[in-house]
Amino acid sequence: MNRCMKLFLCCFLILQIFPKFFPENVIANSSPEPVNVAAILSITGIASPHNKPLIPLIELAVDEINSNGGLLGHPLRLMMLDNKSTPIGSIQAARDAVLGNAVAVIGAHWSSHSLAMAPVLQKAAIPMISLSTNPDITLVGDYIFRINFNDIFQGEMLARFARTTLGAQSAAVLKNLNEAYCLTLAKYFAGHFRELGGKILFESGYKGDAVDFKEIVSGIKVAAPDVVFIPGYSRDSGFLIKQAHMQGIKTVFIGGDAWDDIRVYAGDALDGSFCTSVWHPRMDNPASRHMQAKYHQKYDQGEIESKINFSAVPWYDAFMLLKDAVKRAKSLERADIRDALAATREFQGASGTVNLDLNGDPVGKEMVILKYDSDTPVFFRTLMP
Amino acid sequence: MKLKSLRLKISAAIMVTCILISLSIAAAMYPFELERRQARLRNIHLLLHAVFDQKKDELANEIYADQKEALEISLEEIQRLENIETLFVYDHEGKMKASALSENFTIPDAIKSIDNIDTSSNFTRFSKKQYNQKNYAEFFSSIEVIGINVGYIRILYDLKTFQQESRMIFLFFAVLCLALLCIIILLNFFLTRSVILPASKLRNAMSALQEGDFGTQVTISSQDEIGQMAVAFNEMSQRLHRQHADLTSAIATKDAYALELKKSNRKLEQLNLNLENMVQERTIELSKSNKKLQEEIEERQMAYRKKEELEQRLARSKKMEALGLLAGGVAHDLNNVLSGVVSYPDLLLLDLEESDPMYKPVLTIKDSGIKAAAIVQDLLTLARRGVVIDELLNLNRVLKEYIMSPEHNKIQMYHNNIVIETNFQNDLLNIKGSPLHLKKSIMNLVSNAAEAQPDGGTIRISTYNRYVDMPIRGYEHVDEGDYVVLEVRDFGVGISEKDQERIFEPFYTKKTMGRSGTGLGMAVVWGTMQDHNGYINIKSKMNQGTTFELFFRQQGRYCPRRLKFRCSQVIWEITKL
Repeated sequence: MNRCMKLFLCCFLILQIFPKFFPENVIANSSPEPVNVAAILSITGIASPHNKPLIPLIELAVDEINSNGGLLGHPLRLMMLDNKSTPIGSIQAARDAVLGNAVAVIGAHWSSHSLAMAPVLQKAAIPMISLSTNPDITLVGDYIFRINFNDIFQGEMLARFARTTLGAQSAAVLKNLNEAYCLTLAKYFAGHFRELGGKILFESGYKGDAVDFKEIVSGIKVAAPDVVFIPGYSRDSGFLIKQAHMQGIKTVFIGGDAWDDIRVYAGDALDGSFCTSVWHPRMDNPASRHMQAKYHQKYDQGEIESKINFSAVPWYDAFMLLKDAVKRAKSLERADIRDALAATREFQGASGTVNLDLNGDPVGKEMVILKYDSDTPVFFRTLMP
Repeated sequence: MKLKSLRLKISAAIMVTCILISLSIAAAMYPFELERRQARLRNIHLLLHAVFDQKKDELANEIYADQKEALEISLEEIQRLENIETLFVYDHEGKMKASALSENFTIPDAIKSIDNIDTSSNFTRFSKKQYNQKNYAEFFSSIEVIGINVGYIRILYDLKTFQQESRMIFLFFAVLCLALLCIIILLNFFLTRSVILPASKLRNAMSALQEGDFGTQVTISSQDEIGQMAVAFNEMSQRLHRQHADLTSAIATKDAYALELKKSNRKLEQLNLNLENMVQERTIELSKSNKKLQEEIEERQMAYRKKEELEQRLARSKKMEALGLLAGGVAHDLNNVLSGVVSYPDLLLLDLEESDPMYKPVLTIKDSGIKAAAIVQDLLTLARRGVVIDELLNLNRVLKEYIMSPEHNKIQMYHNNIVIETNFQNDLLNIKGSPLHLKKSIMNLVSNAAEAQPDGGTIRISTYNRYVDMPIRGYEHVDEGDYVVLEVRDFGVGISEKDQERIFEPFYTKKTMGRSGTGLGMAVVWGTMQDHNGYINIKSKMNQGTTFELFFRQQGRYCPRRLKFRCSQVIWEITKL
């Protein structure tokens, strides 16, 4: 073996052994340790078409945070955890977040997922910022927070919209039996609609993975309501609307804030339908404009403008909120972050101003009504609590 | 129990065959049926397990999220599968959360909740259960996802179809048995119709025929073997009927003839009787004539035989006499010539010493002379000159003297492998004769007997008194009378009948002349017996030996006790006077 080779081997060995005697931070010469933040969403499973479009804004938020110094100087290391679109998967993802020493968890998107993982994170004392609307989520514990409006508000608003704005006397209420979001929203809508003097002529449920809605459509046809409230997700709601349209049902369909890509499934049958949203590009606030600019800056390809997923905007806001909480807490301890989150007041997010109450719910979060007349849902109006 | 009836036999055979076939099929099918049932249950288990695995995650999430309606729809989706009748889902504490029930299914108390269950263990059970008096295959399993036991599921699979299949199999066997039974009955029916009934008709007709009802007909219309038998039987019956009728008329005719015949027979009997009497008388006459004729014939035969014997004897005697005269003539002249040859050597020897070279030659001359003289003596003996037979002597004594003689010693020395046995009767009667000639004869007989046994043997010399009550027709004709018999017996080569005829002729010998004897030995014996007025009898068989019996007339006084025996068989009769 020649001299050069020996030298190389010695250096290699030294480099392998040397670091073991010195912690990384010493070797890195005060390079801050990354802080793990978990984002739990459905990368696989039935919810993945609804969740995957959220990732670009999540990554945008993380990049923006890290480019601005991270969390107290520590780079934010994102742990993207897949809950497989199931509550039990969400539990496992939450456990993984705990094992991964996440300082906070952002997610989940669907209510049933959030409901499943909240107890795990509460037990582990990891602050969780949920994007789900089920009112029971934040009731799990003081480490659980929400950034979106809840279904009590949404259901009430939609019922009033249907009764007063659309003038509906009767309604049919359909629900995805596999999702707590759908069940809860349908329950509050139906309750308020009745309270407002409306009649629920037809109520039915379906499994989340259903594709054939023949029986439900037949029931709607027979009932002939003024409106049909489908608080489902894009896939199931879109199939239902399309099949109803094919059966000649011309009624108005109303949905919740989960109709992100419904056009893909419903096609032109969607025209004339309404849904809610957590955000619309017409929401003109500095945070929204900033977010849009950053988004287009990052993702527009030439002259092709990337479309922002409306439901993803609160995810961006959640990361920004976390950053804000860490900044206010001046600490990366979970308890401190929790306290800071609980004390959130007048946080300016792209989707609106966030004031968290004692339960961790946002107060006064506005809700947008969209109408489907073209490929892109059109801003119809904003509803305030 | 013996089956005598053909019908019973056939029925039993068919039944046994069908039963055996049924049992064989059942025995062959039973293991398959068992295996089929087991396989069916395994398939059901696999189906339920597969359904459960497919729905497990969905059910687990629905249970966990407390989505009761979704759970019920999920259970209903599973319930749509064939034969899955009822499903229950329980939470992790064993409380029922949802169910999909079939119509009219009442939930038994036992399955409304799950008690005493180990929630920490993951299990799957498959068993047969009975609820509401229905049989089910129950699939009971815990629902566990990522180590979390979220609840339990119980699926009840209706075994109605399964049982129906088993019933179908059983029904199949029952139908098979029924079919076999029908086959038995049908076979029985057809066999009865085609075989047994026709056979019975035939048997009845045969019985009637046997009873004498000739002409009985049997009506069997089939074209098979039984039908052919019936046709043959009918023909036979017709024929028998005709024959019977013919026979009856023939018998009637015969009776008339019989009467006539009887009368004729009686006449014939009488004639026969007369004829028999006549025949009998004639027969008696003929018998008498026959007897007379027979006696005449016997007399003539006896006379003829006697004549032949006498002629033979005469011829022999003439022959011997002629030979004897010739020999005697020669011997007499020769004897005179030889006297010089015998006597002068004696004189010469007196003057010669033994060491003299001429001694031996002279001695040889003398010996030769003596031998020549002996031959001459024999010839003289043969010529029957100078034989004195009036000396009263006892043969035993003569024999003893002979045995002690040098001549006998010489013979014994020459034939040292011969044993001499003697059996002399103690009270042997006397005879008249010449001891010298007798000894010479005995010597010749003993010498010949020894030479007849070249490899050794025994010579038996016996003497006894004998009364010949009937003439002996042996070599010579021995007349009735009292004799003293000298018997010399050997066990040698024997003498053929042809040689026996000429044995006593001078110089008739099988031996080399001069080497053993003079060729005149037997002739001397013959001559001696002629001189003693005795008889010679020879009994010989080839390779078994020869017995010479010399019969001498007794000269002793009358003895009150005599032994009487025949020649051909020994019968001892003692009479006391």
